[in-house]
Amino acid sequence: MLKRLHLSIAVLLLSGTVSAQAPATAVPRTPDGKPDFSGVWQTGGISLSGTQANVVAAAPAAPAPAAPGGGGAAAKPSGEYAALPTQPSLQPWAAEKVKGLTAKDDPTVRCFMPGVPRAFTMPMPFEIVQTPKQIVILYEAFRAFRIIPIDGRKPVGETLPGYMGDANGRWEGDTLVVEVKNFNGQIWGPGNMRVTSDAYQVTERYTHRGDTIAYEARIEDPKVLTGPFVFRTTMRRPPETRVAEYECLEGNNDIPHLVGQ
Amino acid sequence: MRLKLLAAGALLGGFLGPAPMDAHHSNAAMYDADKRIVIRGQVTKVQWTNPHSYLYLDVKDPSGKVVNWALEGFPPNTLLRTGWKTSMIKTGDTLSVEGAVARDGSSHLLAREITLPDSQKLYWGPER
Repeated sequence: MLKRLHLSIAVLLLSGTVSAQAPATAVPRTPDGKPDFSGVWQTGGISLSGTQANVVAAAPAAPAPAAPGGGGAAAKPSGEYAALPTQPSLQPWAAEKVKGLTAKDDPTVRCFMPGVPRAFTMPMPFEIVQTPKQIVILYEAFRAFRIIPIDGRKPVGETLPGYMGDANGRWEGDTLVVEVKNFNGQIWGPGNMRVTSDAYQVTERYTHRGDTIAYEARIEDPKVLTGPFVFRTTMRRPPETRVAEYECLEGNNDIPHLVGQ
Repeated sequence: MRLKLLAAGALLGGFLGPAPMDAHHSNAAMYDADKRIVIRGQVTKVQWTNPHSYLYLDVKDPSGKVVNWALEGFPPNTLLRTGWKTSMIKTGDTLSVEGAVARDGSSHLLAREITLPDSQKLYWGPER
């Protein structure tokens, strides 16, 4: 008990100190002058000291409240998506379908890839590898990866729908904008969007803030939603770590015991 | 060991968020975090696997019958990042484990705090 308390206090004090001393870091740049997103990032994590809510409430330099359905602290809304709701509004047929779903119906329970932007809500790191022609994101969770062309290449096209979609990136000033389409209608969206169709599409905006990346995703699905909504999160650099193996099938023993929502 | 955990805790402190993250599945669908028990027994198997690690423990119930419990926890990558080493637990060790019971009444526990034979306490999994 004493050790646990000791650990809790240390987490609170040291995390506050680290945050308080952290100066605004300049945005790193690639040789061609673009913001350099390279490296290992994470949106959320784990608590070593009791309940997460208690720790955050007591910490002097706690992160801002998380976006609903998201992981980690919320990014500040940009002008672009500020007016959008942060929760999905489902069409009546979709709302009816969701009522009958349980935790067992989550595709990730069977180790399918979580889709975009849900891959950014997992409590595991991911690595961004940036070149002048493409940006690659290697997710530890569910062994997912994405290749995002930023050189004007044509998208793969709708003949090859998938769990992680077909991405196409471009620069808008210093913001990386990625349009993702051609999903397979099998994934869940962020928050309580437990149904998607093949018309699901995401427009992501990545903005480098030096120590963090502010992330916003505009979610559309004209077959499922009554209108678009926005998902936000903040990416941070975890303590020195590397993206590791995650073979989700090897110890996936829980499905028969999932009895609740 | 304590120093290492303190350092990990300090760094991870910046990652704490009030909303539960999405994870492999909802723990609430399998475990009732408000019904917590402490069990003590001998390790029969250690499984450092994704998406969850498991410890198996032979525990005597009040009638003296031995029941093998499955103690579910973080994936191995997370355990490693929080200070665990695979050498810390071996078959035959006697451990105490605090955690949340399974809703279906099976001998599964979402294991939070493990007390090792040397009295060291470490987190094996999330609280809820």
